Amino acid sequence: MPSMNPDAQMPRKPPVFTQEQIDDLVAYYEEEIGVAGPPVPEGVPGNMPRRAEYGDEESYEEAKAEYEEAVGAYVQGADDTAAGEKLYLTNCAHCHGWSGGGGALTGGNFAPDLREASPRQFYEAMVTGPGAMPYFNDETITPDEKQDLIAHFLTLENEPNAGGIFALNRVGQVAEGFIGWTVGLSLIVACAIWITAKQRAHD
Amino acid sequence: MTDNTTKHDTEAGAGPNERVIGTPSSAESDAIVAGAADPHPQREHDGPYPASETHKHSEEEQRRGEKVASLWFTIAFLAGVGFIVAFFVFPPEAIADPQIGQYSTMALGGTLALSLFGIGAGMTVWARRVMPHYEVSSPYDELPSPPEEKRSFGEFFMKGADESGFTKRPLMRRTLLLAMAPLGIAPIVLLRDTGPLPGDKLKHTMWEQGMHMVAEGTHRRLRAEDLENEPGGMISALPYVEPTPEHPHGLSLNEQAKTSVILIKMPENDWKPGMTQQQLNWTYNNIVAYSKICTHVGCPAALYERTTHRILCPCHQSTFDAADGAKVIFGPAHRPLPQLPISVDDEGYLIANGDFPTAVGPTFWDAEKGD
Repeated sequence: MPSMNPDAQMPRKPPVFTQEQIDDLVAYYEEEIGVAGPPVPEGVPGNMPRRAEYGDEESYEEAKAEYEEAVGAYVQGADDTAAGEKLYLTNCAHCHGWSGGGGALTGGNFAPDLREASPRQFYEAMVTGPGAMPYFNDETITPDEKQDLIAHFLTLENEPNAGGIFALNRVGQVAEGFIGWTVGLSLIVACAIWITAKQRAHD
Repeated sequence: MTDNTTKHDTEAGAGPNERVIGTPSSAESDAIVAGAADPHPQREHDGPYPASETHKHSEEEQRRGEKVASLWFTIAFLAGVGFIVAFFVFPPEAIADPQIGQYSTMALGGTLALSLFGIGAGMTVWARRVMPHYEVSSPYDELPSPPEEKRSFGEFFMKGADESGFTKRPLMRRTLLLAMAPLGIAPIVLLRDTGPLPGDKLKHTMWEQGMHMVAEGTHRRLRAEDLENEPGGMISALPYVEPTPEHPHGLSLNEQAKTSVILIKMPENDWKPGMTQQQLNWTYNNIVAYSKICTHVGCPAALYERTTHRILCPCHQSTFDAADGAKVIFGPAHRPLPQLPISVDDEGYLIANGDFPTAVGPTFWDAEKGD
């Protein structure tokens, strides 16, 4: 924010406003325009502390440790991450990918990468449906189920990436296969050009 | 062939300055020609190669080629040994850990690729820099046999036919043909074992009148008011079936694959005029249920954009318009996603109002024909 081009989907960027400014903005909006959205899920760990909001290194480190502890407790508090996986796979994975890397939609829109999102951002996205994303309110997916779902995703994140030196940022098997196929085929075509070059030089 | 030769002749003038990718630059090729050992570089020839190249390479050139090719073969040998080493360095129990398995895969694949490439590259260098280049023609004989040969074969054949009694003794001939007939038909009869015929199985799912719906992944029945206040809401749903020990959610994978639907709550004014009255009757309070299985090859089509109401299939980009009866607006699918008629029961729970009116999943030979 602010958006540079209102027609294009906004990429994820570091926030410019402080939390206090954002709160003021929301308060103004609710006061003047009055259409309040779903409440902020206060019980879900919020955003990663930003260095700029803390005076000294020590208090920042402290806030960060506190945040990480809160996320850990939130993940631990989930009843059934297997059920969360099922919900993730049936409702989220088509757009955001099995591993949350995101993907293309129609008309230049895209489903963003989820791997930088905090648990609260996850939750808020489900209940507010940013951009073209449909809503998943607390009745269709209950808060407990949302916790399972988020916990599943955060656990998945901690799985080691076995991509080796050619890791493709976990874009998924189909995309990886496509890349392997195009790169491999290009090399084969280059070899074929080299092998037949002498003959073609005469033809 | 004639074309090539003509083309070569006409382009001969421009020849030396044109360079094809992968061949040495003109300066280099001049040097090669200059060093040629052939005493008659301009002698007559019929093939497309210029005379200067229809001779053997100079000894010096061949030696250079030999060195390069052997270098490739040595690399291929070392890589091949590396492949075997890599195979034993990572024992099966170690590669079960993906953190180690990734290096095993990389080492095996890398050495194998290098080894095969080395052999191929060495052979290409061999062919291009050591072997001589010239054309060898080996003309074919005339294809049809000469008339006398045909005649004598015909006479010999008829003589054999007469002597065997095949033409003279019809009983034997006919019973032989009769004996062979069942064996000829047998392969067709055996096709029965590929059956039984699917019947109307492909056209029906287990959805039936009054069946409740659950959010897929849970076993909690959905109510219409769960989606009430939010046009733009969506959820994947399955029929509610009592759990069995075998299937905790009451459904086999096969049944899940066929019955899976997405429920979408549409903003009231967003329905397009293409929706028939019947299709609108199949919705409940602007909640519509479409089969989640793409009609192209059966991927789960559920990338729903609430702003455009497009449902996109991730496999081949078939795009359906949820506001217009899931009509295909892009991509290889050619049939709308089947719409499940829905309604609510007395307690407000969403129920199916019968099965899908059309077949779910990939389109097959008579998918669009009724029962």
